[in-house]
Amino acid sequence: MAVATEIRRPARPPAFRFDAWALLGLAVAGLVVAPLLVIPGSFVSPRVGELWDITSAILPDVLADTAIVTAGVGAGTVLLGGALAALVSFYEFPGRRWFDWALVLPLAIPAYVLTFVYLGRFGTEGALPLRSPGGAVVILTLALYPYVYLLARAAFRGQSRNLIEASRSLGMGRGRAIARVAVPLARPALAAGALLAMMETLADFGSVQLLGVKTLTVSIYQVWFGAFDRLAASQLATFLMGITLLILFLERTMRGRQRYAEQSTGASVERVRLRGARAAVATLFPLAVLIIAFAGPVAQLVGWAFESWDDTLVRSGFGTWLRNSLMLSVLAAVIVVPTALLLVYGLRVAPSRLNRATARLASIGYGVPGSVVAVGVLLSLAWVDHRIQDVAGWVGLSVGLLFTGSALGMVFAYVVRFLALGFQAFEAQMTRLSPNLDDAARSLGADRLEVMWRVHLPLMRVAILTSALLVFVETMKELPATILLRPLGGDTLATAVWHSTSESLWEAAAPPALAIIAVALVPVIVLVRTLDRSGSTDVLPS
Amino acid sequence: MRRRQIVLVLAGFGVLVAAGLAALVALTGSSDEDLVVYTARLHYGEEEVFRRFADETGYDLKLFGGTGSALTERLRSEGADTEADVLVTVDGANLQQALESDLLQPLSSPAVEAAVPENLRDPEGRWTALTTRARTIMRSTERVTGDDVPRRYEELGDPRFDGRLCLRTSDSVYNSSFVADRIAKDGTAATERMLRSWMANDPVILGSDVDVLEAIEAGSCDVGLTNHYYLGRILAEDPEFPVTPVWADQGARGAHVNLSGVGIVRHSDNVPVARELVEFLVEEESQAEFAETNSEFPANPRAELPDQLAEWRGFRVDPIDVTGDAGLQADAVKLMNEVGWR
Repeated sequence: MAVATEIRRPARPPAFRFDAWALLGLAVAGLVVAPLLVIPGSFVSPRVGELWDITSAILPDVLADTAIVTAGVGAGTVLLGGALAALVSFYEFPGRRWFDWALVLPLAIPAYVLTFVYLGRFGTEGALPLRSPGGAVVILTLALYPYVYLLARAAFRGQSRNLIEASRSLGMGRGRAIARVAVPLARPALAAGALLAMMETLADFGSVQLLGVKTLTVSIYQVWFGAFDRLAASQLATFLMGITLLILFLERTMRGRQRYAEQSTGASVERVRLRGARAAVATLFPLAVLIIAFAGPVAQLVGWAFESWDDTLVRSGFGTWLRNSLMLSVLAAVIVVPTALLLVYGLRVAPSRLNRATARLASIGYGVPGSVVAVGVLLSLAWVDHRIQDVAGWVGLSVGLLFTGSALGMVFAYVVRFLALGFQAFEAQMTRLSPNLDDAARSLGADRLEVMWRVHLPLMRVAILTSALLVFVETMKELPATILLRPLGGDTLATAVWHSTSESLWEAAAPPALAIIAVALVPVIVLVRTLDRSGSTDVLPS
Repeated sequence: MRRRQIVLVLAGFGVLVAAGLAALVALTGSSDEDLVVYTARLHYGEEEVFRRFADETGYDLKLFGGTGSALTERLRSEGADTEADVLVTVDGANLQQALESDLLQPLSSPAVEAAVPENLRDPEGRWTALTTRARTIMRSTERVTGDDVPRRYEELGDPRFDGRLCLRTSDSVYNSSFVADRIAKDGTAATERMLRSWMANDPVILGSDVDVLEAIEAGSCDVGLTNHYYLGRILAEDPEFPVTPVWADQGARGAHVNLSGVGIVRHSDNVPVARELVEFLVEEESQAEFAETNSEFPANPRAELPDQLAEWRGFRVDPIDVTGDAGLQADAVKLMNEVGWR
């Protein structure tokens, strides 16, 4: 029996309780926020009037384009990802089992790769319609819909058949039952997915830059590196951070006071078999999406890669790029996942308002463009490095630039950027775990650590895998922070792609781009298989 | 599993992460190279010239690519601990930034002074040009002929080019340097008038200089503004490409010329080798290679030119004023935004 109960919110949590969780939250939030504080710091500059002169001239147009693209991608991914997830979850049609996992595949293609493939493929003339906010919405939606698809699909799967049956027994048609029951129940998942997609959009640089759409990230870059005005750029970046915080806040409000603690013990929803024309449409729609967002671009890249593989420059660098990308991505995932888990867990067992605030703060890095995070990180770590040098100098040692001269700075930037990915996924999952579980385990004598280890972790396997995958893939695709922070010999597949595309050398960009896709595909496939095996049992052990 | 075991597992995990980080640090970062070059030229891979230097001298040379501004920013933050010995930029604005932050050191080299004309070098020897690049008017050879051909940059704003003009996005440093140089020499008002007239022609805004040239070929516009060597590269592959340069403002200051330059990093720990590289790069043979592979005009006037460049050479040039444009980049970006240049 599945019950969607609205649990009355517990009494307002205490503002503050000084314990290990509070310390942990403060430490993580501090580490994430410290490098970002350099950015709004631009408003306390003595040059603030002069800076504002530059910023205000640029702002209205830029904000309009940013709003169009971000809102468009949010709506587009919910529509496309949600529709595809509902289609494969509630209907049976030829190829469904295959589409079920294949539709996640575009997650392996970075938006900037999709963009350069279409720009190179269509040529200057053909690509003209893409060079607009509308074009950016289309490309980014195609690249980012899997976020919504993945989370919505998991949510639909977790829903019990009985819910839909019950609504049908009350006289609802299938479609209405989905729209009125299944979709609202999946709302946290849809919102979380769309939120991820929108934050990705706000932070996207490679794609909009190639398309010549002037969003905030592009104008930040222009003001910074065109006008060489770090402070004015930081002012623009402050607006970007403001918008991200606004989105986070909206998501909170949207979920409002409702908390769905679903206890699904029944079998998952039985799919309705589609026939005739409807089945054909149901097959052709996801097929078209896959061809446009995945198969077509990959085929084009393979073609280009054959042309450029003989290029010695491509061949000689390839091994290093691949090794660096893999090591960085694994490390980022391995650091982000436990950190995010601890944050979410702290919120569960010690839900003070302070902990909530620090958890929110710790996840703002995702909405700040990579290049801005990178510079915040670069400036603050450079400061730390020079202080370390000073100290080392007193004892006659030379340690070089410990953070900024090595890959440590990159890993730090990735953690700052992607902590939100783990946090979002775990929080969405945690809210689905009934608090009764904790009480039961505690009453059986388990302490908190054991409850987490033996109850929550097994139940959150899928969420852990999902977020580890997301962080791994995102790091592999990450571009602006990687470019700025990579040490000598630290070029990755992503920077190799960027080097080539910035010279319009599409063919030379193809081999590293394909490698990103191929490597990113492995965890994508592992994820889908695990999801399928665990099915809806990820919510409660039977 | 008891509490102690859990803690052990977590500790083991922590050790693994630490080991991974250590491996990563060992594999990247600190290097034993003889010479580290930060280069904004051809981000992708290495230029043949640099490889030849390494081969001929036996030095271990490490190139680190990136945009000029990112490299400058990097040098600034690395300060005295930088590994870089030489900075190569593709734009005067980046050199000027490097000077302003005192990132380069003076080089007194008779070889460089003999090879590069005085107006392409810093008076204090902190940088020298490697090549020059004209940012000038490009026209379709089919649809823009005779009296229709624009002779001055201002003419791109003539009503006869309404709907016929292609430009690259304003975020290109080549465009902001062009505008900053105009502001320095003509003043803000005149520059703004020109840009507004360009915008009145409703230009198609494209992502790269190559796009602009291809758009002229395809017929979506008839005139544009690009660096000359992009056309040079295309013509080397396809001599029939129906676009040709118009060297602008020949009756006045001459065509806007930007430069790719090189300087020795102030905190270089290997100045003698850095100096060798700089001198090597301005040698006739290396200079001819820049011209041959990328169609840029060599800074060394004695370098041999490929046919195309030999044919183009000789127009009146208006070199970018590296020190005079100081601080005008911000004004340029602001102005481009104000007039609506995307």
